[in-house]
This record gives sequence, structure tokens and C-alpha cells, in this order.
Amino acid sequence: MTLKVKQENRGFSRYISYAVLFLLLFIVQNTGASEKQEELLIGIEPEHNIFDQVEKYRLLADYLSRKFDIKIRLTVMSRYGEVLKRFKSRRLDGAFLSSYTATMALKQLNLAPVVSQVNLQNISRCQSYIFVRRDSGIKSVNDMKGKNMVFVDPATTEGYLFPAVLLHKIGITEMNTFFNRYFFAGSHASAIFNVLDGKADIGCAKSTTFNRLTAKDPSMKSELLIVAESQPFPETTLCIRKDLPAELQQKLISVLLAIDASESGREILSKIDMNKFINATESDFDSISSMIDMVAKP
Amino acid sequence: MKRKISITFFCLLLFCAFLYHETAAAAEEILIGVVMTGKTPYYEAMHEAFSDSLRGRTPNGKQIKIIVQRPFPDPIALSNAARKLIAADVDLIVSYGSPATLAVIQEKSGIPLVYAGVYDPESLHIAEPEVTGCGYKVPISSLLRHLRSLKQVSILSVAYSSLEEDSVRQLDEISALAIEQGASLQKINIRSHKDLTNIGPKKVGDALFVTGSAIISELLDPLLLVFREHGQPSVGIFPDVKDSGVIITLYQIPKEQGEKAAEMIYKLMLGWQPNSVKREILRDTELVFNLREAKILGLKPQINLISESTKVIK
Amino acid sequence: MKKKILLLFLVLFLVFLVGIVITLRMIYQTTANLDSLIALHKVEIIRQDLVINVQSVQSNLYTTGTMFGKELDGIVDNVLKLRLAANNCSNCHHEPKVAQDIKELQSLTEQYNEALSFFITSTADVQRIERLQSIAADIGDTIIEKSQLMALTANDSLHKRSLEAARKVIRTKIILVGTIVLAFFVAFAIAVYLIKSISKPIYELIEATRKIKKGELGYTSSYSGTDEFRELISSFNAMSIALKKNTDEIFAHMVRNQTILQASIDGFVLFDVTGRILDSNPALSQMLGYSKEELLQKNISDIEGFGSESKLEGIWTRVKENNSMILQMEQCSKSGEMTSVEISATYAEMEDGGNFFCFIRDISERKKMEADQLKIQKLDSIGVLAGGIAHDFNNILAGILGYIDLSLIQLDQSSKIHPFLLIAKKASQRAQGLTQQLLTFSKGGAPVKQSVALEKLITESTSFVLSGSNIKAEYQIQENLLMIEGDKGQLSQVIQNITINAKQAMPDGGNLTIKVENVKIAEHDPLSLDPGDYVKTTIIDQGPGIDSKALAKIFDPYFTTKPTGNGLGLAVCHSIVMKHHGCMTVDSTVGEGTSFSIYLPALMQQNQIAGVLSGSPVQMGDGRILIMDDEVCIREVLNAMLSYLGYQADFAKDGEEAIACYAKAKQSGQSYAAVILDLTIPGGMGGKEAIVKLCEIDPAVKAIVSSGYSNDPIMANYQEYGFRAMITKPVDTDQLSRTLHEVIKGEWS
Repeated sequence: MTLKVKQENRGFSRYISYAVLFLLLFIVQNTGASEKQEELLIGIEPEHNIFDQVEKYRLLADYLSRKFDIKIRLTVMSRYGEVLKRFKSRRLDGAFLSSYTATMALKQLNLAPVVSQVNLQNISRCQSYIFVRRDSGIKSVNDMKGKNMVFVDPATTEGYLFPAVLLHKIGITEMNTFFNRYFFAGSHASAIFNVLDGKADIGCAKSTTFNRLTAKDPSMKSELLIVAESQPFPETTLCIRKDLPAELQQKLISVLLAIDASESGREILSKIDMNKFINATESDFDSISSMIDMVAKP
Repeated sequence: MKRKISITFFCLLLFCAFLYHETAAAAEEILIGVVMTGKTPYYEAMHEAFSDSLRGRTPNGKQIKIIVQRPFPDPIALSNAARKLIAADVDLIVSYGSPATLAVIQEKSGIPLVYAGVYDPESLHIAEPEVTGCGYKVPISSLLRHLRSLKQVSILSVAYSSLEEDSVRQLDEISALAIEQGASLQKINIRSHKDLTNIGPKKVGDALFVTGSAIISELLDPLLLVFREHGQPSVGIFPDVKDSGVIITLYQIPKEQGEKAAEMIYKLMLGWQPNSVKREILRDTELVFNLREAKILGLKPQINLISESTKVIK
Repeated sequence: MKKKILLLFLVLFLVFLVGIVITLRMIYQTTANLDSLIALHKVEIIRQDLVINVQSVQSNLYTTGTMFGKELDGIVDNVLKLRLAANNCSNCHHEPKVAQDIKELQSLTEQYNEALSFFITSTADVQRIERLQSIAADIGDTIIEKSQLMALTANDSLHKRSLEAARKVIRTKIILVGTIVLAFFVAFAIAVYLIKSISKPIYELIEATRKIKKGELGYTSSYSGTDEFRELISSFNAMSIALKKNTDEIFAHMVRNQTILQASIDGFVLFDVTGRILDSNPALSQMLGYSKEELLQKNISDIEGFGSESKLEGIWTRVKENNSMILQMEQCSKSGEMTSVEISATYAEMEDGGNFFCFIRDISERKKMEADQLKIQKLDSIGVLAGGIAHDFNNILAGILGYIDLSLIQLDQSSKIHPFLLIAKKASQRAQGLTQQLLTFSKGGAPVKQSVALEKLITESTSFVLSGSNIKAEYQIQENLLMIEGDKGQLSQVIQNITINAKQAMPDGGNLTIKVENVKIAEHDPLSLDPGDYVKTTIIDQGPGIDSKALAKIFDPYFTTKPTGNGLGLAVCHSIVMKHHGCMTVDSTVGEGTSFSIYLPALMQQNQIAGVLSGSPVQMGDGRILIMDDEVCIREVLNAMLSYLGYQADFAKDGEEAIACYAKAKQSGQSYAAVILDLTIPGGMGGKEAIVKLCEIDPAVKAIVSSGYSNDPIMANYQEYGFRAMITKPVDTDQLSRTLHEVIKGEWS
């Protein structure tokens, strides 16, 4: 109950903060006079349950707001393209980005990766799995020919980039002819279910989702066969604008890296299924960058 | 008795005369005999796609003529139907469903046979060279998973027909899966309408799995009525064409099989040897969720199920 | 009443209390209803909030991705608000049905969120996205629909509750007004009741006092309440009854006093200081010979004796001074007869002046009796003197008689002295009789009773007296005459005295009739005897008779008509008979004769007839006899008699000596065969004390008591004191021989 009240209060104060921020942004945009950073707007990419995700990340944002003098605000970005657009229009100070988006953003914008998330399994990186139904008889890329392929989304490392690169490497550049049919499921989980249900013969998804689902229902694992897996990629990385005040950047990094040291910090982390943050560097995204360069966008 | 035999003999002579006349009249056409396992909507859909695919086609300038037999799916009736086609001197035979396919093969006529709608044909181990075709395979385990996401199932009732070979194989597969998942099975063998009357409350478990069977397809409405009365949902691997109220159906798209069979038969008409036409198993499925029926039964589907369904009946 | 008042106020209080409680309860219920109404309104607001949120989200859902669509943040915010709204719903509802609906709504909301989430996070597969959008929209519609349905239900409930609340408010009003009205009526009823309860008994009391004032004493109120007034009225009733009772008693007392006054044998006169007679009684009229009317016309000074004498003038003044006085004076009646009177005069001051109350009593008889009493007292003194003389004289006579008796026994009857001795013996016996009479008279001793057959005693006694006279005795003796218990000597004396009187009354001779008969005396007999069997002896002479005046005094001591009589004869007879629990009457007619009747009680057990002692020959004996007597002459006579009878006599002069002798003899082994102890030893231990000691020495002691006072109580009941027999002094040889013989031989026990 107390918590709820607090949440309500926070919600209320949040609205006020929004209003204030809106006003400030308006002033900044129109005058461009002030350089003083009044708040940080951090974007998040939606996952399977966006609302839970937002609620949880808001706890983190509140935590950070308490630690800083400035307000940390969250915003949800639905599309990969939106991220770039919003960064460009200076409407975003930073964002928790998946590896593909992060790589694209780093390539195109003046951003710096600061910290990566480490999940409850103490893993900060994830792989791309290519899988088939165990009874499909598909064992190699050659067997995939003429079959149905399900990808997740073109703007995903694990759900498209990796298998595309893999096929590309063996000379398959025209998927339309190689596969009987290929399509995008829209989510990693859906890609897995498409294969399970037989709507596709081959699927790809990121390992964390794959492992989460198969852990929840072990029968899935017995029905699926991973035929290929990628090297690990950073799963979620906080990238911030390089033009943010250096002191603020540093403080943000130090606070996030030390968040697991406090009880309240650990509590928030556990709610967003995280153990801690670790340092991230631009080099973490080099391999993805080169993969993007290798395959053209479908 | 003597009179009865005389009448039967006379009729047979008349039928032979008719067949002779037809054959003579269509010297420049290709006669395709079709044996369907019962009047099954699933097979009918396949056959429709098959017919549509061949319509207007004239392989080597020849007209295509199709004779369809839809006997009751018991071995004798199916054999009789096969014999009739053989007697009619058909050029090619198309069979829908495992019982029909097996009945034709059993006649060893040497007439090329293209099968369709056979569940997991590989497990039939058909050695005859004149036989090719496309079967289908549905991930039953996935169907059961979706069922489990809808409701907890401890006792799974399985409606099958011992008269239909593929239905029995599906039962075996379900049995194995049920053992894996710790659920017990209530087997309901349906060979005729009267078997429905034997379904007591004990036979009605937490849900019904309807195997792909011609007989059950025909008796689906009264069968589901029994389960609906007990508030239990049903799943099946045949599309619920008659809208009988199967909540989840995961089926291979019959049109694909029909078209594939047409493609195969066309190759044969062009002179391909059956063994050079590769037998196929189609796995492309449709997941249909009957939200309306779920609501009637008070079941709350997870969004994932709706999300993954290719079709949602509202 | 106090209790009643308290109780009634309690009732009133309770009525109020109940009213207040009910009202409070109703107010509480009404406010609770209103609260729930407010809550319902709040719920309605929340629901509206929910619907608005859903509608916002729905709008977002349909417009997302379009140019009208919001950014995702807006959608997320809306969805989170929706979640909050849905959760808020469950914070107030509690009814199972509603709770279930809310739960469903929450579930739907979560499903909606999930669908939305799927929809939003799906980045590819347009069909799928559309499907998800459609599903989400459906769920949203369902939520709205459900909310609307719930709103309808809630509105219905709201309406119902509003009506109910309104009804309750009205009901509360009615109850409140009802309570006030009821309380007013109850209070009014209580007031009326209390006024009635108080005024009714007061009216009753006033009515009762009026009646009593009118003279209806004893009037009681019939008030039947149970309060304090009842106590007051019952006290009043008790007072009325007591008043009546007291008045009645006073009246009765007055009547009684008046009756006493009127019936009194004492005269009564009331007069004032002027001497005017105010009241008198019939006794006074009788005493003075004036009627009451005559007396009331008179002044006290007009009556001779009271005030005529100038010397009495000062008496009333003295009475007035002392308030009361007792006076004795001679009073003259109207007829001139003088009477001795005693006047008890009291003076009392009354409302109408001083009054004298006088009670006049005729004391003539009393004065005479006082004179007689004085005479008796004189005689008593003489009796005591005579008794003392008689005792000594009797002892002397014992010696004389003893020796005469011994002389006669030893003397030859042919001797010339023999007749002289006989005359001397007779004279001595008469002297003995005289001393016995004197002793009896003086001591008034109890008779020594024994069974007596009156027939023989009467014939012997009368014939002894009448021998040699010309009076003929005629005996009329009933057969089977009952025995009586009595002292033969005394009874004989009675018969002899009466016979002597008859003989003297008939100097010229005549018939003396002696009747002896059994009679039964019933209860309430005028003879004032105890009821029972009696033997009646009637001695009738033919003498001149006795006049009534003399007859009334015939048994008085010292009353005599004979010039030589001592006036003791019949008085002693009367005394003896009375001591025998009998009675003696006399009946006489002048000129015809006199009859004396003696009633003696018959013996209860007639068969216990004592042995007749007389007539037995002299019994000779042997053995040692101890005699204790202070008189030497007695000791000597007895020694001579015992020696004659063959006994050996030892003597002791008093008790101590006798005891010493007896003890000594017992120790020596020569015990006394018998001991004769004198009852009275002047200045020494008498027989009464000595026998106690002797019994201690020898419980088998055979002791005989002797005394001149035959009517001493010890003589009458000698056995109770340890004696075996008794002998009366003077004793003759025959009697002594028989007594000793019987005692020693053990025939007496």
C-alpha cells in the first residue's frame, strides 16, 4: 500500500516533471541559449512485455534520479528507425539498445557505449541460434534449401543479421530462391513458435529468449535442434550522447557500475532481471558493424 | 437366392459394358481414378485444389478425366473402390488418406499411384515403385503445448478410429507424448456412430484430441457435443471445416497437398516415372484458434496463442 | 411509592434509551448506507476512470502508427494508468459477485496489456500485428462492455441503495418522532398515574379523618395500594381501631367501675367541698337507710356521724390536706342503729373544684373477730403453758400409774387395799386423759393413724360414757362398714366428748341414737370434702336443742353454755376431725334435740387391717433391755415392770449414755434384746438422734420409741426413723409386755 502510494506520488511528480521538462525543452529548442542539462531522457527498446518493462525501468530511472541532481526520464521507442531519428533530433540523451541498434547508432551518431547489462545468469552477451524441428531432417545449410525460413526482424543481430551473414558466407545471397518462403515473425519468441508449430522449417532467435522459453517448457528443447550459433554479442548496452557533460557521463557510469553494491540497487536490478552493469566499449560492436557491412538490408 | 445371384450378375455385366463404352469413347483422354478415404472435408479440400490445378491442362494434348470413389473407410469398401477403378482401366490413381492409399497399393495393379493426405507417409515404408505422393506431418507436440497453455490437462481423451491406419499411428504418437508430459490417456475408438453412445463421463477427460480420421470427421459434431456438454475443449489436426467447435486446429494446408499431388500427377502424365517423382512430406501448417468457442467454454487464452495463430475465429 | 416513582422514571428512561439506541442504530445504518453510496460513487468514478483509460488506449491502439497516433510513451502511460485503475477497483469492492467481476476485469486488463504488449513489440508480420491489434481491441471492447455492464449493475445497486437509504432516513425520522411521541405519552401516563397514586390515598385519608371527626371511630380506609401510602393508611386504620378500642375500654372501664361501685358492699359517697353529695351507691343507701335520691338532696353534714358532730369538722380539712385518710367512726343510720365503719376518704382537685371520695365499710364483724383472735392468742399462751405442765404431769402420772399397776398385779385381789388402788388407778387414768387432752389441744399434734374399725371404737366409747346413766344408746350400724384410718385415742375422745355433751343435755335420760354408715361424697359437695368414700357417724340426742346464735359458735374454742365447761370440748373435736381430713357438722332444733355428724375418710385399702392388739395376755420374756429416759421415776417403774415380765433392764439417762451402753454390750457379745428410747430428753440427745447412731453401730437394733406426746409426728411415723415400735407414756404393763414381745420376736417390722 505504501509502495502504491509512493508510486502514485512518483507518478504524479513524474507528470509534473514531464510538464517541466516539456517547457524546458521548448525553451531550449526555441532559444538554444542554455547549455545546462536539466534532465536525461533515456530510451528503451521494447521487449516482450513492454509495460512490465517500463514499470521496472522506471524504478531504475527513479533510482538514478535520486543519485543525480537531474531527472532521469524514460521513453519507449518502438522502431529501430525511431531511435536514430530521435537521437538525431536531440530528443534522446541515451538509450538501452540491442546490439544491432547500438551498432547502427554508433555508426551513424555521435554516441558512446557506456555500460552493458549482465543478466541473472551473469551473462552480458547473447548469441544467435539457428534452429529447426528435430524431426525435420534438416541438418545442414544444404538441407534448408526449399524450406520455409522465419527471421525475427531485419534490424536484429540475432534474428536476421547472423543467419544472413552465415548464408552470405556460403554464397547464398538470394534468399527468395534459396528458401521456399522466408518471413519475419516480429519477435524472437514468435520465431521459435513458428518453427515449433511447423509454420516454418528453420528459425533464428537470440539465445536468451530461446533459453528462457526452453527453460520454461523443456519439451520445446527436445523438439528443436540448434543447427548453428553465433559468437556472443552484447545484448543490451546503454549508449549515450558523447556531447553530454563529461562529468555527468562519468557520474552516470560510476553510479550504474556501482548499483549492485547497494541493497536498494540490487533490488531494482533483480526486478529488471539483471545482476549488474559492466563497462562497454565501442569495440564490442566491431564485429556486428562488419557483419552489417557484409549483408545488404533486405 | 438364385434370383438374387442372377440380378447381381446382370448388374455386373451392365457395369462392365458401361466401362467399355466409356473407354472406347475417350481414346484421347487420360483417365484418373481417385479414391478418397470417406467423404472427408479435409480430403475434399485437397481434391478440390487438385482438380483446380489440373483444370484446363492438356498434357500431351490429352484431356484429363477424373473418376472419384468415396467409399466408407473400411478396408473392404476401399478395396472394392480400388478394384472398380482398376476394372475401369484408369491410367493413374490418386488416393487421399492412408486407408485409401493402402487399399490401392494392396490391389497391386501396377497403375501409378499418387497419394495425398497421408499422415507421415515415411513411417508407412511404401516400397512400391509405382507409388509416389505427398503426405503431411503436423507437430502434434506443439498442438498439445498450445492446449496446455489453454488449460491444465491431466487426462487427455483421444478420439481415433481403428479402421484408419494413420489415425492409429497418430494415437501412438500422442500416447508417447502424453507419457512424456505425465498425462494419462482415454482412448476413444470410433468405428461407427454407435461408438459415440459408449462415451461415458469416464471417457471424457480434461480435453479431447481428435486424430485425423475420416469417420471421426463425419461424426465430429455429435462427438464434440458430448465433450462440450462436459465443458471440455478439443483440438485436432484436421481443419474444422464444418465449424464444429474444435478450439485449436493445427493442420497442414490441404490446398498445398492437393496442388502438390496435381503437380506430381501432371509429371506422370507427361511421362515421368513414379519413382523419379520424389515423395514429399509437407509440414507447412496453419494454427487456427477458435476464440468464440473458448469463450463459450470459459477458457482464457494466452495472448501468445492468439499471437501465434494464423487464424482466430471470433 | 419511592420505588414506583423510581421504576416509572426508569421505564421512561428506558423508553428514551431504546429510542436513542434505535435512532443511533438507524443513523449509523443510514450513514453506513450513505458511506456505501459515496463508495459506490467513488467506484463509479474509478470505473469511469478505467473506461476512459481503456478508451484512451483503444484510441491509441487504433491510431498507433498513423499520423494521429501518439508516441509509445503516451500509450504506455495510458496502459499503466489503466492497470492502476483496474487495481484500484479491487481496493473497495468486497461483495463476492462484484469481487469476481473486478477480478475478471483485472484479468481482462492484464490480458489487454499483454495483447497490447504483443502488438507493440511485434515488429514484423503485418497480419500478425493486425491480428494482435484486433484481439487487443476486442479485449478492450470487452473491458468497456464489462465495465458498462458493471456500471449498469452498480447504478442499479446505487439506485436501490439510494432508495434504501432514503427509506431508512424516513424510517429513522419516523422512529425518532415515534420515540418522542411515545416518550411524551409514557411521561404523560406516568404523570397521570403518579398524580392519581398520590391524590387517591390523600383523599382517602381526608375522608377517613372526616368520618372519625364525625365520631365514626374505628373507621378504616379500604385503600389497597402497595406503596408508602398504604403504610400511612394502614397506620391510620390502626390508629382508628386503637382509638375505638381505647374508647370502648374506657367506656367499659367506666361501666365496670360504676357496676363495682353499685355492687360494692362498701358504701360510696362523693361530695364537694361544700359537702353537697354528688353521688352514692346502693350499699351506702342500705347502710344509712336513705335512698339515693334522698342522699343527693342532702349535705354530708346532714348525715349523723359524718358531719353532724362538730368534732368531725376538722377531719375533712385534714383529709384535704393529706389528700387521703382512713378513718374509723360510729355511724348512725336513718333508723338510729349505730355501726362501726371505716371510711377511706380521698380528696381530689377536679376541673369543677375539690371533691371528696369516701368508701364506707361496715367493720363491726371484723372488730368482733379481732377481739376473738385476741382471745385465742391468749389461749395459745395458756396452751403452751398447759402443755408444759401436762408433760411433766404426765410423767408423774406415769410413775403413779406404773406403781399402782405393779401393786395391783402383785397384790392379792382380796386385799382391802385392792379396791382403793383400783380407784386410784381410775383417777390416775382420768388425769391421764385430761393431760392427753391438754397435750392434744396445746400441741395440735398430728394423729397417730392406724386402721380403725369404727363400730367397736364407737360402742366402747359411748358405752363407757353412758354406763350408769339412764340414757339408752341405740346403735344403727351399717353392715360391711368401711374401715377408716385414724388415731384411735383421738377419735375415741371425739365420740366421748359428744356423748358427754348429749348425756349432759339429757339429764333426765332419754334415747341417744348413734348411726354409723358408709357415704359417698361427690364433687362440689357443700361439705367441702374431697370426693370419695367416707364413714358418717351421727349422734342424735333428745336434748333441748341449741339456738341458732349459739349453734354458729358451737365449735369456737372457749364457747360454752355450761357454767363449768372450759369451752374446749367441741373445739378439740372439731380440730381432731379436721386433722383426720374429715368434717363435723351440727344440726339442732330447739326443743327437739341436737345431731352431730362426723365424716371420716374411709381407708383406701380395706384389707389392710391392723392386728388387734388389745385383749392379748401379758407376754413374759427374757433378755436385756436398755431403757433411755431422763425421768428417774419412769426408769424405776419400767425397771419394775420389766423385771416382772422377766427382762433384765439397763438404764441410760440420755442418748450419749445409751449409745455407749449399747456399744459396750455389743462389744461384750451381750447385745440388748431391745432398746426403749425416750423421744424428748431436755438438754440432751433424744431418741430421734440416738436411733441414728445406734443404727450405725447395729443396723439390726430393735428400738422402741416412747413419748408422752402420742401425737408427735415421729410417733406417728416411727418406722421412717428406724424404730420398730412405739409406746405412749404412761405405759401399762400389758402394753409394754406385748410391744417388747412383738419387737423381740420380730413380729413387728
